[in-house]
Amino acid sequence: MKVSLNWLKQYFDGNLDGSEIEIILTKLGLEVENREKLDESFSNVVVGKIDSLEKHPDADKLQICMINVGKSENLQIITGAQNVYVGMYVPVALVGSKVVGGSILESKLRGLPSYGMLCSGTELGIDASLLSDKEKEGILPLSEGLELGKDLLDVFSLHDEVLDLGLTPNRADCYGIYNVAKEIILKKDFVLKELETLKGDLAEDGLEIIINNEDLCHRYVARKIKNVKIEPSPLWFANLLRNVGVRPINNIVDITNYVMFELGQPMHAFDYDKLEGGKIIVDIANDGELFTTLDGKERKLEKDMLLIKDGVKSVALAGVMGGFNSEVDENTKNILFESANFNSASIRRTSRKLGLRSEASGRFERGLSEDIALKAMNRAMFLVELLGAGQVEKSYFESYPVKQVIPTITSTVKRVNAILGMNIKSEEIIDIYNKLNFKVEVEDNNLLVTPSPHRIDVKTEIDLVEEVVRVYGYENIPATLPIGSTNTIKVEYKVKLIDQIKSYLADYGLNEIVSYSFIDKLSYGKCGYSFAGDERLKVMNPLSENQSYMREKLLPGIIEIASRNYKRQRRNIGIFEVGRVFKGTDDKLPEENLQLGIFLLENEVKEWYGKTKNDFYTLKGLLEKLVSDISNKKLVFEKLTDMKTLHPGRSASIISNKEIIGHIGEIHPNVLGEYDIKEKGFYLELDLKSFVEPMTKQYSSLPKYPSIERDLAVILPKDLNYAKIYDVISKSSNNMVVGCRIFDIFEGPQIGADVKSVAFSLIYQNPEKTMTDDEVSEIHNNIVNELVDNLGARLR
Amino acid sequence: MLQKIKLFFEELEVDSLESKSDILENILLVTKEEGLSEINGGQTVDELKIIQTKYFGKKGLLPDLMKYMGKVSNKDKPILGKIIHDFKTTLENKLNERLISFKNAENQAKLEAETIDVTLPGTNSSIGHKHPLTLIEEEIKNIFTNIGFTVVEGYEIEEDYYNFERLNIPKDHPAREMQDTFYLNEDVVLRTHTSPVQARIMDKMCPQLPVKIIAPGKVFRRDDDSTHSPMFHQIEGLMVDKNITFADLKGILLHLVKSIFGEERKIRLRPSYFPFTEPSAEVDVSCGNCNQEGCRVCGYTGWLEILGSGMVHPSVLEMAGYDPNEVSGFAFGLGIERVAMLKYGIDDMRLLFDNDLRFLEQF
Ligand SMILES: [Zn+2]
Repeated sequence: MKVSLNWLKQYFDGNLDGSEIEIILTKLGLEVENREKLDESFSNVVVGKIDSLEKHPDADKLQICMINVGKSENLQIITGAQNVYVGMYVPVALVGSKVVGGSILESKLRGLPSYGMLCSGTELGIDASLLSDKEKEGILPLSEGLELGKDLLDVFSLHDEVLDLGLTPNRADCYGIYNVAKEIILKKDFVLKELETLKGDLAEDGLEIIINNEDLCHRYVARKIKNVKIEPSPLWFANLLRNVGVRPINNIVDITNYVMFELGQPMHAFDYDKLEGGKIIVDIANDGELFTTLDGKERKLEKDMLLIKDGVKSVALAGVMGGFNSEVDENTKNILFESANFNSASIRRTSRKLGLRSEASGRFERGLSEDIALKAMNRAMFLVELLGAGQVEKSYFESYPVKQVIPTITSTVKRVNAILGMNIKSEEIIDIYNKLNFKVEVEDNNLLVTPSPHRIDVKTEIDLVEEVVRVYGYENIPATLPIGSTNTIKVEYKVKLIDQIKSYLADYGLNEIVSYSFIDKLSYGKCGYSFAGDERLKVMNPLSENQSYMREKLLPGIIEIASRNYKRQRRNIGIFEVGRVFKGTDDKLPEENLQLGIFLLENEVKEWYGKTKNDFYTLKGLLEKLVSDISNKKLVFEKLTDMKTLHPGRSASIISNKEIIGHIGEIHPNVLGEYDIKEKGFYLELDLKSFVEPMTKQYSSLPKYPSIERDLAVILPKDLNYAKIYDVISKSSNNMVVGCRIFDIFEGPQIGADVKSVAFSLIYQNPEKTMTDDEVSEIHNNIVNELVDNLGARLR
Repeated sequence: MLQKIKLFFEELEVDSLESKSDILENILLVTKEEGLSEINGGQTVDELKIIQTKYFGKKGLLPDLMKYMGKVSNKDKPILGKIIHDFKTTLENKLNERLISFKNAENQAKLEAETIDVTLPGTNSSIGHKHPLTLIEEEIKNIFTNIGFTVVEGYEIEEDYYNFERLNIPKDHPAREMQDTFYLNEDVVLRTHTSPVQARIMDKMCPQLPVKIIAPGKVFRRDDDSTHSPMFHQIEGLMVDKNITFADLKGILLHLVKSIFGEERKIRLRPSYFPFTEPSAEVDVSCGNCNQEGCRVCGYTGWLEILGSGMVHPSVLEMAGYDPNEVSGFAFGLGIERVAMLKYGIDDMRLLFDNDLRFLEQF
């Protein structure tokens, strides 16, 4: 919402500059998003009149203009513009002036001197939206009869500042500049000027106003103007509109816009003679009804859209746009002005559906008081007379079926202070209500407060509390600390777990990443998953296709980031993400599951101390370390084969308590290829759902007797995995093996095909006594025998 | 010398050593000086060993001297003993001192030969980093848990009912436009703020008091440019109890801002509007870049917008089952990205989601 200072200052008697006003409005909660001085885009540009035009002897496209700028001698200016003619009033940038695009110097064009420049609207910094098509053509045509030599800043009233207010939905009243002035008065002892209006009598007959949908239209006011003279508005009036970003069109349209910016009430003007049947009917459209709006477009309506009809036809889309069939044009003789209160939700739906959003519909959408409809009409009528636009009829027409309810709110000084934690005196509070123009009655300890009609946002006591502290000043609120009872809400383990995991993984040398929760469904395919995105997780209105599905997996986001870094020549990539993945359900909400994903790039490098690289076991080591740091879980790994995401020979399910809680492995080369990663990558995903707070550890007594270490080397079938070997060792050791370390695995022709040699170091210990060599040997031999019998091992 | 000593004892009368001891000491003093200079002159451990044998060996000087102990009277014995002891320890100490210094020098030389290049980088040192958003989130969680708040979490995909209606934002409320919403279906949204946690936790707690929580998490809005991301992070704070005031909110926020940005920073509350709080306040922190002189960072205002807050709206309390005449509360919602950008001087929000490791490793 743009507010011109010149416009605003019409309403009170004091003087304030732009920065003071900005401070006041900010303190009152009207955010000033921008403040712009309008007289800075050009200087030293004056009104001139073209006295003569001549073709440049040496250039077809140039013309020599002799310009009268109110001095004794005309200025010679060479122009390339084509829309100039003798007698035209033009903006003349004198030598030494500044316009958008630079300074103007005396120059020579094809041999002839030029003492200045004729300007287009753009060169004067005028926004294109403020110019008519004709004005956009070239040199900006000025109204004839302007004083020659007059500074254009004065002609256009540009010694002005414009504040752009970011209004919150509760303060829709401030879409009227007059109501902004009322805010200023709250902080300054200025007198607010009454608006001059032209009141009328309520007509007995002449036009019947019928409201069929009282919910959607609470009030409809109309008034007729006779002998209308459609012409441009006077410059002072047009300038005010232009300064708030509205293009002046003609006196009638300008008046409706002026009142809308002044009071917030949108208005509409019908060509009275195009209305038939002596009626105005507010009604909803028929489904599928076709209606041509005044921009000439035919629109298909739906049945909840509100229409204005005359006795015969539809003539306007209420609050959104007038109809082509009742448009005011240059031949219009009589006008019917409309000022109505339409339902905000209805207007919002209609303007949304038709893609027709305007200053007017925006104001209706935010809500208006019924009270303002008549006031706006009376103000508009005053302006019609002021501008001499026509003869206002003495009486007005109205239907007002749903009267505005202005509440009387009961409040106490004690309650206001209890909420604020302050000690504002009763008189001060009453004084604030007075400034707000709220009526106050004192009854025992209660204050009965009736808000001003335009403040439809003030409905309950808490709204009054807000008004009091807003006017009293937020800067005057003390800062205290709450005194309260003890909080007993327990923190969920999941919350602690997330923090712990992030800390551990960062300690292990990994970097945390944060990726978007929505992904491209095509990325599932790229990652080798066999599903393609659950439709129940599809965002109805995504910003783009590649952000349209809520992720079911972390990998697509993580590998995308890995790839991005890889393409930046990064090779040391060890990253993780802890975040939620989603699962479609038939319940109202999808399931949200916490997951961890870790990506490691192989990154084989020579360091000064030797070669290093990551592999499956690096990642597995990290996993084992993490799981033992955060839980008491025992993990089991089972080889996976049917995956297209991970390498079929180098991947495993992570199992705990017989339940698969994740996957780990080398990423399938096809997947890495999809992401342009040309070396090995490793990935692990872990569901964190099953991680619960670990039980407090119980101490077990330390071994009293020494342990004995024995090595064992056996040759075993190549495809036999360690888990099975260890299983046999463990079962045949009579619980006397407390440690087993593999120190060598060897395959090669020396020992034969299809076999491998595995060397273990076993640690024997009896908790009850010191083991003798013989006792150890007996168990050791037993282990060997079992390995031979059960697994086909042979000793090396 | 031995000759002189022999002579001395031969001439010594019984029980007279006390008066003659200075003569014996003088004879020994010369020998002692000779011995000390000999020891000081020894250049190797071997040379010292020879000297050691000369004085202390079986055929050395000391055993010779000791022989006289048996020859003097009982009264003279302790006197002679002390003289011999002094003589012996002086030489012995010197000898040991020299031997130890040789040993030390030898060790030192051996260790010096083992010198490594201490300036080479450490091995296998990969240093990990938490994401800056996590660092800020953890910092803020700590500030609040230290004053008795509990961290709770809500849903990222939320019912329209909790995201809007329970927060006093019915369908068709203009405030819905302030937050352009992603929908999964008519009733389910990607939460546009962490505020639905307010309703969820109050439902769970009512009628118990107090409710003191903070809730961090991801939120989503249909916005994407250099200052907006369609996904970002918020922290919601809520305190509901008897006698909670607007002044308390200001106090808590001042504590928060000083804890994050430093003791010297100030806050400014501006009236604002959120449907689920009233009175509401937009909160600014004084610009640390320019000390409020005005600069590019703060848009020449001296203030940086940092969070939205207010007193929990009576209808929100009521919908959760609390009586707004008995109970009051405050709530605030703060953008973690915003805090991270201000605190770390990050000028483009997209950096936080690009996850360039060169960026992440700076935290
Ligand atoms: Zn600054």
